[in-house]
Amino acid sequence: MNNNGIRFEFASDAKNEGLARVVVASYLTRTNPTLTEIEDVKTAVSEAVTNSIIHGYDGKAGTIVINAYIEGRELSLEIIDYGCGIADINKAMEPMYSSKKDGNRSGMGFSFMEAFMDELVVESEVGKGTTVKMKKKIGYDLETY
Amino acid sequence: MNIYEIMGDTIVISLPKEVDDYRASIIIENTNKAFADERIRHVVFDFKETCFMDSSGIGLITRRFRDVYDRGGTAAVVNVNPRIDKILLMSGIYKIADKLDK
Repeated sequence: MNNNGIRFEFASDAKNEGLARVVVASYLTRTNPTLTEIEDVKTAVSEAVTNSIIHGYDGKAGTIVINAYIEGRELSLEIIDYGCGIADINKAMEPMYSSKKDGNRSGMGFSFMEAFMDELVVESEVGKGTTVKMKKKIGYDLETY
Repeated sequence: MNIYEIMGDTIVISLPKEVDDYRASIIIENTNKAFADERIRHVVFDFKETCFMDSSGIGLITRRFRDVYDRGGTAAVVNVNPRIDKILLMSGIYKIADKLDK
């Protein structure tokens, strides 16, 4: 983290998903982002945090840490959990794949992170946890609405 | 809070301001009973109030689509803003659900 960054942690409770999105979005405003860019980042954060809650901790109590920093107009994010980890990252990142078989999951979490951010790196160790690293350059969005 | 309304063989689900995993799970739970009724053949998702949705919303739509599709029914979405439209488009939802004008 550089000297303008933020770090916060919260319990792996689904009710905290909204809070996590809003904190990162608030931090991002200093880069003068478009509405689309804000929504892109909020969606990506929501996907990563949801993964930690439902897969990393499997609905059980745990802690999620978010590190964020800005260099120039580039946002770097780390979403960290200390849950079960991912045995096969390539499989987990396949579009439409979900390890949950309850039929309520789209399997598109990582696809959304890839679509809305510029860079996505997933580091995971079984039994230790997962870190999702994402970057997005602000100021390249040509869409406005 | 009224999250759904039933009109004949159609259920209209009014989605909240933000559709994330937390909200989508509540909606699935609260509509289980309604979808257990074999007479329900069509589902409409109303996005009038919605300004945020992540992939949990896609999971919700595909889940309820499968429930009615098995009975020969259909799914549709209505009142989608440009952001929601983009998410539905990139998820391929328009292959299984029509966009209604209202």
